Amino acid sequence: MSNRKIFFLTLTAIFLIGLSLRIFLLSKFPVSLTIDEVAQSYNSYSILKTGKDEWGESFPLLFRSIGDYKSPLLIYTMIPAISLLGLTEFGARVTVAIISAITVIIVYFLVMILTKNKSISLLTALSLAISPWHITPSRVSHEAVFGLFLVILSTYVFIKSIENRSKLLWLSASLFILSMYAYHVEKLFTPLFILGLIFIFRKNLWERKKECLLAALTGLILAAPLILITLSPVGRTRANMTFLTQDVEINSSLHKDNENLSLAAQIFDNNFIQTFNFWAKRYLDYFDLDFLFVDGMEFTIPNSPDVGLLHLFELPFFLIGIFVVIVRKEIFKEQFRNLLIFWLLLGPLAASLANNAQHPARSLTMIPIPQLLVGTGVWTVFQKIRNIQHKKILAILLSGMTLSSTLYFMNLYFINFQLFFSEGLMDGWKDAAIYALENKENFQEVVIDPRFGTQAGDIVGVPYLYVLFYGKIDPNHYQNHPRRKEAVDSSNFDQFTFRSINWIHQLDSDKFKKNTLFIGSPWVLPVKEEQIIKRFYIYNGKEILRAATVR
Amino acid sequence: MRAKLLLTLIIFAAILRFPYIDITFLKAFTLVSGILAVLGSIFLTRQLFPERGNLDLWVGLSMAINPWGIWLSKVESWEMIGFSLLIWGMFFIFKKGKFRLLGRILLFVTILVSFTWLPVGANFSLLLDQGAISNVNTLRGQNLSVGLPSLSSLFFNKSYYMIKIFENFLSHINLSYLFARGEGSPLLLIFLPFFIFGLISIITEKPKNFGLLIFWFLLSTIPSLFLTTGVATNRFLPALFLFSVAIAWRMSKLEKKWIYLALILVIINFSIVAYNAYVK
Repeated sequence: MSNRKIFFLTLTAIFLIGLSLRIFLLSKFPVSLTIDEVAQSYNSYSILKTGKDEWGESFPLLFRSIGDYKSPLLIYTMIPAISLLGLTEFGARVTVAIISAITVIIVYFLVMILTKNKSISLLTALSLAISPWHITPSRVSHEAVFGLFLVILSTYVFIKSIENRSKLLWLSASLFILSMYAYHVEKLFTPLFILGLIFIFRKNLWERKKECLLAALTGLILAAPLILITLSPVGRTRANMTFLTQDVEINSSLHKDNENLSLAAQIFDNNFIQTFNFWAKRYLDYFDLDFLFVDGMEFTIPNSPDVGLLHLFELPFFLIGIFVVIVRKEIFKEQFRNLLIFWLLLGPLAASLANNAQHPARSLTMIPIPQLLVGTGVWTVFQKIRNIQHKKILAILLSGMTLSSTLYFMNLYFINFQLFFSEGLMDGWKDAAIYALENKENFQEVVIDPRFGTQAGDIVGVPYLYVLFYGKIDPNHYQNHPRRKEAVDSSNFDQFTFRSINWIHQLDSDKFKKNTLFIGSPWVLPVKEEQIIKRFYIYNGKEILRAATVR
Repeated sequence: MRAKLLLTLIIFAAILRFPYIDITFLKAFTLVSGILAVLGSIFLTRQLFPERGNLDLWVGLSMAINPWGIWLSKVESWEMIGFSLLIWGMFFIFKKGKFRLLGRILLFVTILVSFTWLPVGANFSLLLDQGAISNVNTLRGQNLSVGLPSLSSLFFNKSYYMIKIFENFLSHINLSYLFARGEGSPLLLIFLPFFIFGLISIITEKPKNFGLLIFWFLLSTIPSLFLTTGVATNRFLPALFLFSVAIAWRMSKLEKKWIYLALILVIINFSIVAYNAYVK
C-alpha cells in the first residue's frame, strides 16, 4: 500500500473515531436537553416555519431567546437538521456533533500547512478527536464548537493563501467574520486574532495590497450589521451580564460610585487595579496544568477522580512539545511559531474576562495549540528513538494509553457525570412537559413553576421551551397567541401558564384552585399525598418535579 | 560600587520587613534570618554562577521584595529560619576550602529545624484522607448501579492517591498561585514575564549547576506533597531562591534604559500588594 493511501486511511480512521465519540448515544447522553439546546432548536424550527424567532422577530441577527441574546449563526445552520429530523434530541444535537467531527479534519490540514509533517498532523488530529475538552461541548450543541470550527477554517484559508499566493484572503476574512456571528467569545477573539495575523504576516500582506483591500472590504461589509447590533443596548446585554465584574468573587469588593476613598486607596486599591489583579488570576488559571490535565472537566464532585481538558497521559508530550517548539524553536518557521504562541496566549482572554472561573467551553478557541503541542511531543519522542523494536513498544504503549484513557473519559462522561449532574442538565423537564401536553385536555389550566431543583435553591428552568419543543407547537400559533400579549415577557399560551405556584402558606390562592394541573419542584408543591398525581425523577433517582391537583 | 549596591539591598530588605512588626524574641530571630537569607542568596548566587555578572544582586532584589520572603520574616517562622540556614549552608558547601565543614553543620541544623516545622503526623494528611476513598467508592457504586461493575475497579481505586499527590506537585507550578493572588502569592505579578523568559534562557543555556537547581526544586515540593490542602507556601519557601534566580536571569540582561522602568513597575506592584496586606 502506498504511503499516500496509508495516510488517507489513517485520517479517515481518526475522523471516524472522532465522529463516533461525538454521535454515540447522542440523543440519550447528556440525559436531558439543556436550556440552550431547546432554545436553539425551537428558534430554528420557528425560523424554518415562519421566518421569525419565538418572539416574532423576522430573521434576527441576535436571538432574544430567554433574554440572553444568543448568537445567530448556529440557529440558522441547524435548520436543515431540524427540518429533516424534526424537534428531536438527535435533531437538536447532530449539527454541532458533525461540525465538531469535521473540525478534526480541518485541524489536520491546518497543522499540515504549518509543519509540512503528516505525522504531527495526524497525531494532532487524533489528540483532538479524543479530546474531552472538544467532545463535551460538541454533544450539547454548544455554539463554541461552531465558533472554533470557523476560526480554524479561516486560519487555514489565510495561511494557505499566504503560502500558495492564492487569492483567497477575502474568503478567510469572510469566515473570520462569520465566526463572530457564531459565538460571543469570537466577538473579542477574532478581531484581536486578525490584528495579530496582520502583524505577524505584515510583510507577506504588504506585497498583496489589492487582495488585502478586497478582504478588508468584504470583512467590513459582513461585520457592519454585527457591529451595529453589538453596540446597541440590546447587543450589550450579554456582555454586561457576563463581564468579569459581575462575578460574585470580586463584585462585593469593588468600590461603589459614592464611596469615600482615601488618597492611598484611590491610588493602590481603585476598581481598575482590583479588576486587573482579579483578571490576571483568572487568566493564569487557564494555564494551570491541574485544570488542563487532571480535573478541569469537573465531571465528578471535588476530591474525586476526574479528567482534565486533555488526557493525563498527554502531559509529558505537551511539555516536550513546548520544549521543542517554544524553547528550542524547532519544527515551525518563525512566523508560524509566533502565530502559535499568540494563539495560545489569546485563546483564554475572552473566557478570563467573563464571570466564571476556568470555563472549558469559553476557552475552546485555544484548543488547537495544546493539541498541536501534544502531537509535536509524541512525534519528537518517536524521532529520538532509533531502535525499531523500541519504537514498536512505544507505539503499543501509547495506543494502550490512548484507548484506556478514552474509555476512562467515556466512563466518567456517560455514567458518573450524568448521575452527579443530571439536575444541572435540566433533567426532568422533558417528562414533565410530555405529561402536561398529554393531560392538558383534562384541566382548565396547567400551571408550571420554573423554580427548579431537588432542594430549594436559585436554579430557574424555562419549562415553556420544553413544552414548545416536545409538543412541537406550531410557531405561528405560539407567536400570535393572545395570552402571550398579556405581558412583555409572557410565555403563556393555550392552557399553559408559567409562573410561581403559591402553595406554601395556609391561605395561598393556588391551594384552592380546582380543575388545574400544577407542576413544580417538591419544595414548591408541599401537597398532601393524595393530591400528587405524578412524580418525575432525574437520572440518579431523586424526585425533581411533581404534578398535583386540588381534590 | 558593588559593595554599595549590596549594602543598599540589605538596608532595603530590612526596611521592607519592619512595618507593622510586633517584636518578640522569636520574631526578631526570624527577622534577622529573613534579612540574612537575602544576603546569603546573593553570596550563593555568586558561588553558583560566578560568570553571570550582576545576577547575584538581581537575585538579592527579588529575594528582598517578593511578598513571602517579607511576610515570613515578620512572624514567628521556623520555615524562614530553616530557609536562611539552608541558603548559608549551601553557600559554605560551595565555598572552597575550610568552610565546607561549616556548610555541612548548617545543613545538618537545617534538617533538624525542618523536623521542628514539619511535625510528622500532619505531613501525610492526604494519605489519611477518608473523603477521597469514600468518593472513589461512590464512583464505583455508580458504575454498579448502571450495570458496568467491571470497569469500576479498573478506573476507580487507590491509585487515585497517586493522582492526588501529582496534583499537589502541579499546584507548585501553578502560575496563578505563584504570581497572581496578590499578597497571597509568593511572587509579585510584575516578575511573571521575567520568570518565563528567565526559565526559557536557563533551560536553553543549561548553566553549570543546572542539575542542582532541578534537584533543589523537586526537593522543595516534598513538604507539601502529601497534604490535603495542596501547596503550603511556608513549606515551599526554599524554592523562593530558585524563582528569584529565574527572574534575575532575565532581569540581569535588561538594557539600562529598561532597568529604571522595570524597577518603577516593581515598586508600584509591591506598593499595591503591601497596601492590601497592611492597610486593607
